[in-house]
Amino acid sequence: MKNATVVVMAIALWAGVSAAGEKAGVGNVPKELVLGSLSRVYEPVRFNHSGHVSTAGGCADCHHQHGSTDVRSCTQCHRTDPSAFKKNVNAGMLKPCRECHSASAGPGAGIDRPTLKAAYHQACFKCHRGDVGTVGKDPKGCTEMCHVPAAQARLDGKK
Amino acid sequence: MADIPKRNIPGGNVPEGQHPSGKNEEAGKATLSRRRVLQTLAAAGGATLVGASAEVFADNKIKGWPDRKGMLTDLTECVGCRTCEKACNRANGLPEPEVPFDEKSVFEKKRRPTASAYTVVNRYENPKSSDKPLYRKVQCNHCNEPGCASACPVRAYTKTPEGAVLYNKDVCFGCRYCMVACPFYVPAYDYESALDPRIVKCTMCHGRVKNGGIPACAEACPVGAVTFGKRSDLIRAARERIRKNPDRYVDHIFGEYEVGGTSWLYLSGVPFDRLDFPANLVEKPLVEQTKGFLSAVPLVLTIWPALLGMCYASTRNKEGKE
Repeated sequence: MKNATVVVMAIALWAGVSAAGEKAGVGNVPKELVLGSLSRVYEPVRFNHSGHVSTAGGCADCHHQHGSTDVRSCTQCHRTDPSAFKKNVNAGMLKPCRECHSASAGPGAGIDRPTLKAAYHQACFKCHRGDVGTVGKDPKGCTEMCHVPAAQARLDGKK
Repeated sequence: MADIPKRNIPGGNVPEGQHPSGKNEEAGKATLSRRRVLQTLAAAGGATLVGASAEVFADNKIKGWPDRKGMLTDLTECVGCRTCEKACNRANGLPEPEVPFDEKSVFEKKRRPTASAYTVVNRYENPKSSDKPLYRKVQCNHCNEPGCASACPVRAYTKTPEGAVLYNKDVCFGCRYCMVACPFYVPAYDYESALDPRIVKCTMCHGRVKNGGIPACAEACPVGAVTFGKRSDLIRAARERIRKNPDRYVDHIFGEYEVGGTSWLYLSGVPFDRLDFPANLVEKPLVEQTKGFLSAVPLVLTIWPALLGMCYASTRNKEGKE
């Protein structure tokens, strides 16, 4: 039973990693992103990307590579040729976060670079802690702001 | 003749001119030999102490188990979600708490680990920003040289090569010396079972780690505030974080040297004593505070009575002859 649980969890994890969906929005910027790669305890998060584009000061507010001295070149994340890039920043696929931020949680994970889960949360908590939202003031803030607990049946099935 | 009493006086309380002149030479010898006995005795006692302290000093230098694991809690990341508490509860099969894990009222008072909660998160005011309170996760720090283990009279504690300090309830008889010895007030006593004494504390998920996993709290933490890895790697990474963000962190890795070093390490944005970390800890292992004395006790108890007895016997015999 325990092994079965581990297998189910592993499948859910890895299936989810490749299942982050997106809907195209205005100006070729994703409108809504479904962040479901790590959904075990909670349902996938429906992330309103275009809403954040308008409220945030710029891409760099969330995407740490922008303006960071750590990144070597644009093509590290934007895999495209320069002419196409001018027309559409997302042409030729955007390098997903998980390629640097590992989703696995083995020994040593997250020491030098946050794991995928930690990277997501750390990006959100730049604003959604204190300033916007109750995260950090109330543990219930997680479900108030982004997360919907996974269906009880699913949890029961894992037990 | 004249110099003999002089030699006698400091050596052995022999009043001047008490001995008949014929016995002076012999008396001198006896006194000298007694002094030699005293000197030998003092040397033995000294050697006992010196020997012990040399051994203790060596302990501090021992690198022991260079691959041992550790945990790094970055308190600047923690958001007080209590996910670690919940994960710990599930992983250890602990009873469901009276207050649910998403309840913030628990932060109203400072908690410490109990028999039913191996780790707890406490909330503190943030002097930098009142909007963003600070949190501190509390659990066993798994000292490199655990005070609990040195205080335990029945060796119920074991320091494992993986870094965890484990407790064996089968040999424990409930004296609770470990609770007094722990500088972090961690071991908790299970008062529910009077007939089956049991101390409980975090095990750094030793079973999971042995099977290639990581502790439940580290796996569950949503913000990467708790990471698990080789202790030496964690220290290197912690230094790197401080170097890259000098404004974010105080320049100190709590647990690197405290009480001889602990497996659990901490980074903080405010001085550690503001988060109730004990500020009075020595860098030497606590074992050193008592080891020198305690290791001398058996020697003193066995050698000194014999030597003092001999000393007494020789004096008494001599006096008997007179």
